[in-house]
Amino acid sequence: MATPFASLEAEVNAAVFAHLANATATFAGAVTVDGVFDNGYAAALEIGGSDPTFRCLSSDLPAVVAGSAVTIRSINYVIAGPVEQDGTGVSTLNLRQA
Amino acid sequence: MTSRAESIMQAIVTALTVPPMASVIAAHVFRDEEQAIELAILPAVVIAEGDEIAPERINTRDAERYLDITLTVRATGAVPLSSADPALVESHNRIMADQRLGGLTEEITEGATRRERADLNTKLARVEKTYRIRYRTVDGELT
Repeated sequence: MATPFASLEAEVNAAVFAHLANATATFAGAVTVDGVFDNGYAAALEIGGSDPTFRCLSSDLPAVVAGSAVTIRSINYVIAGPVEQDGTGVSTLNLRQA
Repeated sequence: MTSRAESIMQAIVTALTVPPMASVIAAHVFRDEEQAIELAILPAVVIAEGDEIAPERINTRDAERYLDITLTVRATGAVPLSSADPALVESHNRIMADQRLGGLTEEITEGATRRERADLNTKLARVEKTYRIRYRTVDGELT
């Protein structure tokens, strides 16, 4: 049985993504998941680029691993590195353009 | 008047751009690191001069000088260090093809190589290769 705070946490997470999702990710051309897509400026080796990430409810995610394909806003990405689960039901995917 | 060091740098740029390399277009060969920091222009090559140790007087007239230069190759790709390799090899071969640089230098000596990679929305690599250039001028003159 879920503790009260765990239930609240799950409700808040669901509400956050229901209201604040800004993109739909399509995995393997089939499964779609709504979430929060960030693609802000980042730099490495003095080269300017961006650092795309996609956050969503872990329960919505299909089985994905590093290297899995995902399409967001018509751009093809691959998942770069392991799926980062925050332990409260939210997962972050670090992405790289395919 | 142009210093011998600057003339050497200009000669190296010419060696890297005329005729154009197969791996990097001439417009993407730079003298300043800041010009090669856009993802869209990679692969790119930067040739930059570094420090010079104090010259050595070798006879009553001449001084021997040493100029350190750095060749930097930047590239992106699925295996970015591999993507950088053609430009590295081609640039190196051009630099070493005429170690006298048409009479401007006495010798070019290959130094250390440093390789780095990083992830952004794509994979990046930077390969830095150093060279020491020995050249002579009249003692007390930079030209």
